[in-house]
Amino acid sequence: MANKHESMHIDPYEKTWIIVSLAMLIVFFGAITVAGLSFGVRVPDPVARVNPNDLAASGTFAEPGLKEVAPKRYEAYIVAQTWSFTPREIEVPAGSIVKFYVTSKDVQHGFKLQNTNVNMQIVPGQVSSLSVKFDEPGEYDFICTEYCGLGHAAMYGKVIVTP
Amino acid sequence: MSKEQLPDNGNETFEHPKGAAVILAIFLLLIIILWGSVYLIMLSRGVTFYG
Amino acid sequence: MTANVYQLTAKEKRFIGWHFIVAVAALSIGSLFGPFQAMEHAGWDFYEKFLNPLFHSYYEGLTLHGVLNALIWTTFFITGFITFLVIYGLKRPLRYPKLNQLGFWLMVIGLVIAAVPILLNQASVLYTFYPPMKASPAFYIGVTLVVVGSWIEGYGFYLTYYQWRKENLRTRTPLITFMGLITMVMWQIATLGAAAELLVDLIPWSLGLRAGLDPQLDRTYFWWTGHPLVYFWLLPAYISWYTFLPRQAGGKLFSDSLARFSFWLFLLLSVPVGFHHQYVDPGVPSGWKMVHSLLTYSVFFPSMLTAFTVVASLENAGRARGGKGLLGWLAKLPWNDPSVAAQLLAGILFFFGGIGGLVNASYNINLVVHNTSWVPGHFHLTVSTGVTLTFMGILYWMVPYLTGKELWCKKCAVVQVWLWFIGMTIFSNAMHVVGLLGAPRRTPLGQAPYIPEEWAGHLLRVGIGGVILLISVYLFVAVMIGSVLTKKKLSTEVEPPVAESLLDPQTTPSWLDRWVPWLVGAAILLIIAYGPQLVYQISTAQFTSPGFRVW
Ligand code: HEM
Ligand SMILES: [Cu+2]
Ligand SMILES: [Cu+2]
Repeated sequence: MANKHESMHIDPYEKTWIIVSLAMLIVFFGAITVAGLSFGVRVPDPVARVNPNDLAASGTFAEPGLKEVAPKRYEAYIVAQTWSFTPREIEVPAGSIVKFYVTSKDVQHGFKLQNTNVNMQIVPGQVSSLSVKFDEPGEYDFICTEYCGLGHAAMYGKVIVTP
Repeated sequence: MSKEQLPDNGNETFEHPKGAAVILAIFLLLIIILWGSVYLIMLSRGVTFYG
Repeated sequence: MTANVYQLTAKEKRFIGWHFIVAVAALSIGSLFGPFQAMEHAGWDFYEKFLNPLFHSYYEGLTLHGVLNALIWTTFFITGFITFLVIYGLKRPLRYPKLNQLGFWLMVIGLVIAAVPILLNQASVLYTFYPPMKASPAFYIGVTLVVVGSWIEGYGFYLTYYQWRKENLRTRTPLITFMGLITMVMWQIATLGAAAELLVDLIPWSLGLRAGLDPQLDRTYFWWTGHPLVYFWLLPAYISWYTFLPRQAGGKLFSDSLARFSFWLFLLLSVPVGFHHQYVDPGVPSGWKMVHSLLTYSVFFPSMLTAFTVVASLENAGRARGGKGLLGWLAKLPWNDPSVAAQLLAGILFFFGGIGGLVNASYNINLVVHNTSWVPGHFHLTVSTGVTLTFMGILYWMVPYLTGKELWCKKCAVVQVWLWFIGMTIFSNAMHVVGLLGAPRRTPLGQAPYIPEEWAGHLLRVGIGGVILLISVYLFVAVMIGSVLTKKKLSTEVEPPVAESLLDPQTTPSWLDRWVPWLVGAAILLIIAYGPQLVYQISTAQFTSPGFRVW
């Protein structure tokens, strides 16, 4: 070792800064964990695999559309392809909970339902799924948020929530 | 004004970075406000999971 | 860092200079499209009217913009800059200059091979080239060569360092060299993901040797590289803020050991965080997303350290120049030096970029911003300002150093820097806001049928920012060209402004100058963070996606 005295000198102000910024990060992380686990603002989890070349064989995506599974509870099966969603429009009454299942026939797409937290990457071979509760009547656009070719900017659909 | 002698640079006086502390405190406040407001936007847009 | 100043030979200077010439050339073409994209958002579409026969679509332009700016401008600048940090820091020539030249020329060849298909509209797949969009094989091969060339330059640095180390057993690695080497090592770990994606999947597939791919698996490979890529851009800017800026401002580096410590943390934590780009992917379990979120929060911490050390070093400089009071030293900093002004303004906007980054990294909050224009809003504060404006600032002293000639039109340079700051502030703020309202990224919004009226004002600001930035970019290019062509020789050679540390670096603990434990730590973290998911995703892969050409 060199004969000089080794030390990691930390200024007291810097020490305070380190502690305060660590504390902030811990609080933030706690807040997102609570929002995820207790409130239910979650990110997608794997739900199923499909063959993008043969969605008809996958059963659920053979006929995309809305299925009522219980009163005011729906499942929406949506297929993304260049450059549209099938179905393009779905209609549910206010107060409904809809669970979306979205997959792609070709390239990657996006699925962002405006003014909600539903925002998913759509990857061929995979099924993306999140739920939403529609309290307010109105129209909610779902738009493609991943570049998917020349017609990408025009790729969108609508959820119509009736009173 | 507190001055501290550093071990190996005996001939240099050293001041605590007070100004830096102020700037970083403002920065911290901005992080909390801006991050917090997007967090609130998230909460206002509802839940994505129903058991 | 005392009397014994190693002078780079003319040949070494020219070699480094060529890196910067390619970098600036890439920026001058790549950044042409940024303003066009911004103006398109505001409703001023130049694509149909002016660009069309030469450039085929918004997306071809966006591919050029992403590839030339984010991949080429950065990689060429950074390899050139590290070459300087190694030679000047170790005070010795490269051990095998031919090896470094080979690396450089491979990068140039790769660039040309990738650029041709993009310009022919055969590779409008954007700089993330997600399959199953299928570009011409030349695009993937060219990108691979650029990466391999940068690796080879890296080997040249390691061998030079190894030789120095053998002869200087007890000396601390000079800080600038140490930081440059960490950046390169991090890059080589980081690019393993893209290497797997390109070599195993994309190249054979685009050549017709493989029928199908699993796009989810390729996203995982890509983001293994994609996140640390941003640290590859950022660390050289940090190097300049830690070790050059304090001296340029007239002060000293506040803490040598904390600077080293934060760089080790970057080496450890930059890579095992890639799932934070895949929070909304269908094929990654949410638990693993949470793990990467936690690790991303951890890598935020060394940036907080950096913020303190850099601001404190600047305060030290401002006070040395007679600054009084709590904040009076700020005004005393040499704002009329374009290199200093560039870095200070870059740092200010980077603060806000960091805040946005923390938002993006926050797991479920990502649902609000993912693939909205918030994201380009964010990274135009980080890579396109924090990094790019800092690199411009470095060139403002480096080019006179390399050429021995004056910076042409220093005033223009100061104006350029401020225009960038103002333009980016307007542009990026508007992008963030309209993204929160739901505007998608990678989309010519002027054509989109679902744009509500209330976005118009923000989109207009996007366009205005773009126009200001257009002026700034070409003012920068003009200063660069002017400085190379000018005949005005400098009377005294530029001395590279390497800051001394307030404390003697020999007092920095020796555990901060040992590679093996940190490299082992990085490997362990990677295995923990990525191992299980990689094994799972590879073993359950379904190679069902053929290629598509959709542009
Ligand atoms: C000259 C000023 C610049 C302007 C006005 C500008 C503008 C833009 C705009 C409007 C977009 C979004 C396009 C879209 O999502 O549809 C964009 C994307 C992007 N920009 Fe810039 N930019 C500039 C400079 C830069 C620089 C210097 C860099 C990097 C060093 C950069 C890197 C990127 C990247 C990586 C993307 C994303 C491309 C993608 O989504 O594939 N930009 N830029
Ligand atoms: Cu799409
Ligand atoms: Cu990232």
